Amino acid sequence: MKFFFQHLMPWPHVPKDNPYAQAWVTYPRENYDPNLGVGLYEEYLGQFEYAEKMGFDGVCVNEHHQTAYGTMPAPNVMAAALTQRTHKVKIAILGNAIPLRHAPQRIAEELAMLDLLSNGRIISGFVRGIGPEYHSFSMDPTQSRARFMEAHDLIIRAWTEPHPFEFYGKYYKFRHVNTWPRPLQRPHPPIWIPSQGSLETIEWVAEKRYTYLQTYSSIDSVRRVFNEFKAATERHGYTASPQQLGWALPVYVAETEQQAQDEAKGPLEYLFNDVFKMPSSVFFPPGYLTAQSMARVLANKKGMGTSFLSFEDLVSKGYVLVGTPQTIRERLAAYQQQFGFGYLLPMLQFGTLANHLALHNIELFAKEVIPYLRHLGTEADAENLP
Amino acid sequence: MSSSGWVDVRGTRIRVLEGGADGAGGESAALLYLHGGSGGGEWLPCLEALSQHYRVFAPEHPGFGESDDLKGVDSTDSMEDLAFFYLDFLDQMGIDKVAVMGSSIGGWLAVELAVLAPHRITKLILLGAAGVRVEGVELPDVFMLDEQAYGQLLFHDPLLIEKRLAAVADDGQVLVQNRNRAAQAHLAWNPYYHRPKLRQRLHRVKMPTLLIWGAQDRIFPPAVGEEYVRLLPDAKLRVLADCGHLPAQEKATEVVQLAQSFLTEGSR
Repeated sequence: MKFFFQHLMPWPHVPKDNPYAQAWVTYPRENYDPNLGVGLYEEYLGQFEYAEKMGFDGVCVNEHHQTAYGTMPAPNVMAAALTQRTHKVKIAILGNAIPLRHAPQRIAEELAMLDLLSNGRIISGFVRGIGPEYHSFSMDPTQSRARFMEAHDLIIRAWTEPHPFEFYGKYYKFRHVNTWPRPLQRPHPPIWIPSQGSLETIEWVAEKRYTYLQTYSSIDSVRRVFNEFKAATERHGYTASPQQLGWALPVYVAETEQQAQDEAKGPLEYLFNDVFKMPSSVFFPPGYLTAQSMARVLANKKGMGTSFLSFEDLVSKGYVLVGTPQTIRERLAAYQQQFGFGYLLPMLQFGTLANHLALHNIELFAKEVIPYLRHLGTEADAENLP
Repeated sequence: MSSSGWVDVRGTRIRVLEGGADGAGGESAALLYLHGGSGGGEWLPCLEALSQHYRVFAPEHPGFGESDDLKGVDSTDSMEDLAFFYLDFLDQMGIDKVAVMGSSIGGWLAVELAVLAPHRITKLILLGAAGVRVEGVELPDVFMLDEQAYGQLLFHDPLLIEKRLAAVADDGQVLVQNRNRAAQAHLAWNPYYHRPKLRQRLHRVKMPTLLIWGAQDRIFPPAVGEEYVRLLPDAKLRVLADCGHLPAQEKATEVVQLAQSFLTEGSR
């Protein structure tokens, strides 16, 4: 199994009595203090460096806009910093929200630059962007999936075709696509698709043989979606390898169960409630989901984002893992056996979690959890990490 | 009394409610009602009243309710596409000239249709119509509102608000509501409920136009109606007291009276 340190770079200063309905879209930017921001970026980048030092296989950056939930609206900028601050780890960009760009070949360009700057360490995530991004950019949510598909096709062609070509889609029309420079990895950086578990996405990722990432869901949803993904790969005539399945979730490890709970409770409740919560009209704008997926995704994410989730709920429903190294590795080993994932993306700083606790979490996870799980999910590993 | 049927317009099948005198009144007797964003498919009391004197057609727009998506377009793509569709619809129905009444985005659609084919529209009635942006007039972002907040904005009468919020939709209705919302978002997300170029084309809409607005319309305030009056060659505005965004529903009697006298004005 491979371990990727994942971060949202949250803004940790949203007050408990936030008078606004959400920390997204219209949450006034006067609430962001740039003087604190300088130190915060430095602290967070330090956590990435520490994760590499502690032996993680990769690190992940993330894209969200106009929100205190995560302060990486331009994930490629943060990835560029990481190409210079790290030396061995893979750098997974989860973003990019490709349909939000008016010229998606700019993503092909930026990713190629990053791949060169990192000497071939880039993993390229493609996402649609969640509901609030469509409010933030006044982007028609009903076209999101179709634009995603077109942007994807354009980027792949921009990376792989040797000669200039015309791209003529419904949403994107370009006379001369001829992206310089070219990425180092051939034919292009590996592609990961983080998703909320819509049927269309599962089917498409299986068809493309990309890596599917399930993000922040209850354990029941994770189980169901992984099973569906495996069934989808069978329909496409092959068996999903562990390297096609990744799971992203917040994890907190401490010396005792009590200590772990005491330290994680506040920051986790902040993450899932104070900064993630938003009206459902913002989370799921009209037409963002197909009618078919609407019911499912709402069930998968039940309560998440739209109503209060207590620490006890988050733990009991398996949105998060909190405990001693012993319990965490036992549970992860059991889940790995059940679900067969080859990538785990623990979020080890979340919400208001203080720097020293995040660093300790990274260290304990690296020293006391990873070594016990490394051997899992590799039997079917025909190829190394791409 | 109305009947509901299906009309196939160049491969797009839509549902049409129809009622009234059987074409006896001649050309000008046809009245086309274009519904707003929350959908059609309902024979409103004001349509029943107007059907005493006119042949009333109330289609469900492509992309809405039980009607097909617009064929050849991955979903109903723009107000202009819809207006072209309704020209085809009129051809298909053998209606040469028609009076058009539209509510909210249906009003916007009626204006688009009148811009395209002014010679075929005898008179235009716009109820709380979208379609133009008025600089300095702030509109709520209805796409950010939940059902509760949206319901509050729709009507002036608290009883109507309460009734709407208390209505429990079954699964089929929820599907239709979601589809209507998506169709509306696709048409009006950005630019928000208007088409910038429409304004410079309004001079083509020379037929008599009656604008009916709720004084308490909080979705598109009366200032939008006033702007239409400034831009349209032959338009007058009637603002109804104690009325929100949906005059046809909230003030049906007044709307029928105003519409009736406007439609008969100057006719032989």
